[in-house]
Amino acid sequence: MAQTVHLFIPCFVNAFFPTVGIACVEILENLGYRVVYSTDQTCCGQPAYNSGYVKEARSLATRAIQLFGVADYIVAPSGSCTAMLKHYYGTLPLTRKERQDWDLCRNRFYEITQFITRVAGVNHWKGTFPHSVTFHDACHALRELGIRDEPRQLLTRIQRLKLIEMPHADRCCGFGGTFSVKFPELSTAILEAKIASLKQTGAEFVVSTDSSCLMHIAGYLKKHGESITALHLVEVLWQAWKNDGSPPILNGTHAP
Amino acid sequence: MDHNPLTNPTRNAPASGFKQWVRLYLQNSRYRENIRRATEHALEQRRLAVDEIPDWERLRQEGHRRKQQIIDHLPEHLNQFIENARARGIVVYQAPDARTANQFVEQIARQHGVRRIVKSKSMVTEEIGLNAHLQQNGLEVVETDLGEYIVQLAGETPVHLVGPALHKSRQEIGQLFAEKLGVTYTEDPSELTRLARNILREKFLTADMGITGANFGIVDSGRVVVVENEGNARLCMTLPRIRVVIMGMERLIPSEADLPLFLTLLCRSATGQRLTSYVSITGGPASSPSPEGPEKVYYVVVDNGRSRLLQDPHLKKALYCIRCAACYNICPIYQTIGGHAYGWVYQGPIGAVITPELSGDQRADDLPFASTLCGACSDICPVKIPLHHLLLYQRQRIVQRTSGPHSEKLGFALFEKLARHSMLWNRMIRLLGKVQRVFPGELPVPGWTHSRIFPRVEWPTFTQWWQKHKRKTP
Amino acid sequence: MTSPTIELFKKRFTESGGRLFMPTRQDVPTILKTIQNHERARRILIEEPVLRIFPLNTTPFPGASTEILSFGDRKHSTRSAHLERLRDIDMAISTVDGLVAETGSILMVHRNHPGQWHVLLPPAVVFLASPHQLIGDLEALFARLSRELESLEDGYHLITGPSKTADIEKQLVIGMHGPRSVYLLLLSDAPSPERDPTA
Repeated sequence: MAQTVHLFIPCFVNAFFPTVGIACVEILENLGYRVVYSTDQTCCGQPAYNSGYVKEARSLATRAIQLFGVADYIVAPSGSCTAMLKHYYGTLPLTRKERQDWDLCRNRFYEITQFITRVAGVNHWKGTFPHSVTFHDACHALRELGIRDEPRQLLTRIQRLKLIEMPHADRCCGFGGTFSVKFPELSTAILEAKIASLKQTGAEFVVSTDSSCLMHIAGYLKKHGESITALHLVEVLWQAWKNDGSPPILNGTHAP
Repeated sequence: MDHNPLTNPTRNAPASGFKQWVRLYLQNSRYRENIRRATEHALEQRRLAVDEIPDWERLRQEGHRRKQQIIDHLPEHLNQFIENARARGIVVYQAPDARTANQFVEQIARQHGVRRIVKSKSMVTEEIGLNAHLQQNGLEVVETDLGEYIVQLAGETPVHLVGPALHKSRQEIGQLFAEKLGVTYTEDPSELTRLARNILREKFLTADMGITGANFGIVDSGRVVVVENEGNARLCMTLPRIRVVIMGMERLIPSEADLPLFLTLLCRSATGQRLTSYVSITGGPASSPSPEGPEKVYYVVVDNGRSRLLQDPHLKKALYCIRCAACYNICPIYQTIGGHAYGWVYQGPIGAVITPELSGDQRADDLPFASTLCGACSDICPVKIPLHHLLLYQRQRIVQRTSGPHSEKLGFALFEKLARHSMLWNRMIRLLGKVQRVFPGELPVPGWTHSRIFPRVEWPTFTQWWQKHKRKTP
Repeated sequence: MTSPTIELFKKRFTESGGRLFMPTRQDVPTILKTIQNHERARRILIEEPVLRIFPLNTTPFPGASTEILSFGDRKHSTRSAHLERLRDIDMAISTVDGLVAETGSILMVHRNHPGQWHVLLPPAVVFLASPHQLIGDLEALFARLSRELESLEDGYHLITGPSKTADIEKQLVIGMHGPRSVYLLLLSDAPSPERDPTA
């Protein structure tokens, strides 16, 4: 009996970057997991939480916890949402019952890179991606969840993929959720340092584990006519499989 | 007119506060370049020094633990420290606020017929606005740390805990010296340093009172520890007749046996040194007659809002801070706008955490929001203060205590309503997608689209794709 | 004292910007004259305890005036007279109370060197020490001191290299307020130190 993975798709990935979610489904199913998803899912509440709105965050947290059911794992293609679910929910003023429900979930939360490498035990990614790539460490994946080597391990094993490290890959891109609109000039100025770093590599793609950073980085790149393309790590992993023709692609219409 | 000494005394913040400052400083490319170069340099020096210590993580943990022991029982430790200091013949004054601290120092100066005061770098004296107070009362106060001296000559405030003048280029300092000291222009750092040394040496030799801060106060000996490279603090504490130590009440460590740990954490984090050139562990006035060293020693232990931090179970962790400035250097915000844009004495992540409490000024409420919550500060902190968690916590407190921007409150209330109902939520997404498609050109998103493209809603959304292809539910 | 400790001290002391010599007692006068020459020192101050390790007054420095600073001088002088005496010294020669290998530091205990103006005010200072005074690291130093702490009435301090600043564009400049030159003569054949801070 295959183990079940409940996929948690960040709200903005659902709306703006659905291929990231699709790539997760394809990857997890091909790794032999049964994937489930609740179409009732909306947002984990992080925007409210990070802005200091505890009441609203609590309301959304308790709602989210109810959706997860009995799946063996709850996996999200985002370090930021995973950290919210796994760590920050615990700081909310939950009732005893709500806390019990969360306790039943908290050890099942995984960011997808972590899940692939630590739970599924895949460190050797088969596939081909004939491009140069630079990797941006998403802050919450790196510092809240300790994900640093795993994405690089996966990327460097892909055939013909050239990983070029940018200087200060572990520095913030300046997104910071609502910070990016509260302090737009400051957020952009921080972003410009990141853009300069990644341009220095000459890579074709900038890859990360959080679509929020990528939305920020790609938004700038596109606005300024830069040719670098932003991709979520799972999009690269999936594309690398597809480029090799195996494993079979279940649905080709949503290619990145 | 604002008289809060915590605010930048040189320029009062514009009414719109911090956001206005940020815009102003973002436009100053030379300032920004100087800040960036200095912070990168400091980070690299730190990295090299920390890499030498294989069990750095354990040391951080240990530093955290020992500061926690102190802060959790601060009143008792403080009493013991004061008692031990008094036993050494030191006069100790506990100042509840800036005003009383300043008045006490002024009073000592009058009592001893002091005219000229030499000072070494001390953030708490910046915090309480000591120099301005003493100068207004006719006393000469000379900053003797080179960076502080530069900043004092320029009529500015420190831009950084460790490097007060690192925002200035050598050319700016050369011009400043030529203008204020009447010397021939030079931009050679060695020559500028020599000029400052000669001027300040005369000040030292004729000063009646020396004021220093304290990096650490040692509970079980009543001594204080001062860490420095230039030698000015040692001159301040040994040349003049009267010695005054001004310290925040949280500066304590249990005993001298804790110094190897805290000196390692502080020196390596602050300047990347194994040890600074001078580490002074000083007690009271000499017990036997000696012309060297002070005749009288005073400690001024300052509260000034620290008790407010202490009362909060989370914010009291900010009192573990040993003022190394590593969080300044690593912070993307600080790196980008530098210290002056904050408009307050304490800057960077730790400043953004403590300033709302220390100042009690609502204009500081923007500071905790000026963070991406990237967590680099918490990672680098040598005593493991969970800085980004404290920033989050401050946001919550500020939202709870203030009426806040009305539109934002409504916005999050609406957001919560929508996100509780997936049908409404999905309708909103569809609506956004439609508007994006009918709007000619790019749909402007306030605060975003001036510099970044806002992504378009993709059809199908992931949920739509799932409904079509999978239809599996948990 | 094991030689790895000496080696570590030599490395760290030199890295901190100090200049180290390891002479025999016989070589000391020559080295001191070389330093005097290099520093162009015209007024030299010798702290009296130095003479108990080495009879330096028998080796006058050419073209320089030499004076001895004794405990008694400190006791009987006024502040201004004492300062007047020390303010224009070019080079001071002093003993130390310990050496820390881990950091390349010199320990000075106020009881033995009250005030310590003589190692702060002149542009050059020469320390004489014995390898017996070496301590491995800060932990060991404070462990040793802790036995004695109460009697170290007025405190103690550590000197690591010359006075320095990097306040202008982070560029290192040697010799801010304290000495720009710090020499250490580690006497390879020194007698056991008669004044150990923990003795």
